[in-house]
Amino acid sequence: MRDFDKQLERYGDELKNVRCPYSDAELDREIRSVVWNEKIIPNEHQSRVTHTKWLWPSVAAAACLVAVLIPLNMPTRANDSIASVDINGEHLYYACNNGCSPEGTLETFKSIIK
Amino acid sequence: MELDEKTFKNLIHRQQNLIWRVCSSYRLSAAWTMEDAFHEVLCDLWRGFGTFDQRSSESTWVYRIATNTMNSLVRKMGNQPTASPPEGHDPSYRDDDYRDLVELIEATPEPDRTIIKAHAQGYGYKEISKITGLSIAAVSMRLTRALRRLRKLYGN
Repeated sequence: MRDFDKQLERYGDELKNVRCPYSDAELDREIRSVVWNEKIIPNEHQSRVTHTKWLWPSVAAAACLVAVLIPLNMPTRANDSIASVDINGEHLYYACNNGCSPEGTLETFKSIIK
Repeated sequence: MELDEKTFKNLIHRQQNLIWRVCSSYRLSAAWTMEDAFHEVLCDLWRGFGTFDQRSSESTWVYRIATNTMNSLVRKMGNQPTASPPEGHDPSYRDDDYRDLVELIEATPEPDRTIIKAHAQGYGYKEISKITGLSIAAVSMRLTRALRRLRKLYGN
């Protein structure tokens, strides 16, 4: 009969007796390597600071962009429908922005160029 | 920053055996050495260093981070060939009874595997609860069930 409890106790004892094989100098080297390599990836605290630091400048930049674009009268919505007609090899286009269907746009366009 | 590095260095020196112990309790794929795993744990400890809020003891926090790193590594390794036997158990691994138990523990799914390992090392329910993030009641229930299952599989 195998003794489960005895083997489990032994398992725990074996784990508790495990010792790190690094010397102090080797461990220092390992730590230094981790810290220097990870400096490009800031820890959580620094990360939060960085996000906060860039938040307001980003918002201000976005506001400036909107302020410039609106006076320039940039199109703010896509055309609902565009119809094209070929007249003597030349393409003419007509766009409708008032919720027109493609068929309705084409009909309107044809009536305009008649 | 300088102070943080110094504090971190002191922490690692104090907890080096615990970190190595957690690493060595996992079976790694042949492509990984224990030194690689140790390095990964140090990286995660450094990344999470700013979040250590003293609510749990230092060793419990280190154990939790090390366990999470190792579980994640083992998950990534998937079905890669394993290096056998686990490094931490070399001296007594020739013993069939002992080897069978280690195999059974290794094959136990998470989080029960972590609970059994911590229990075998003498951690109480409260500490295991902080390591795993489970409630004390859940730890107690899972441990009882896992031990019952292991005992049955072990043939005791």
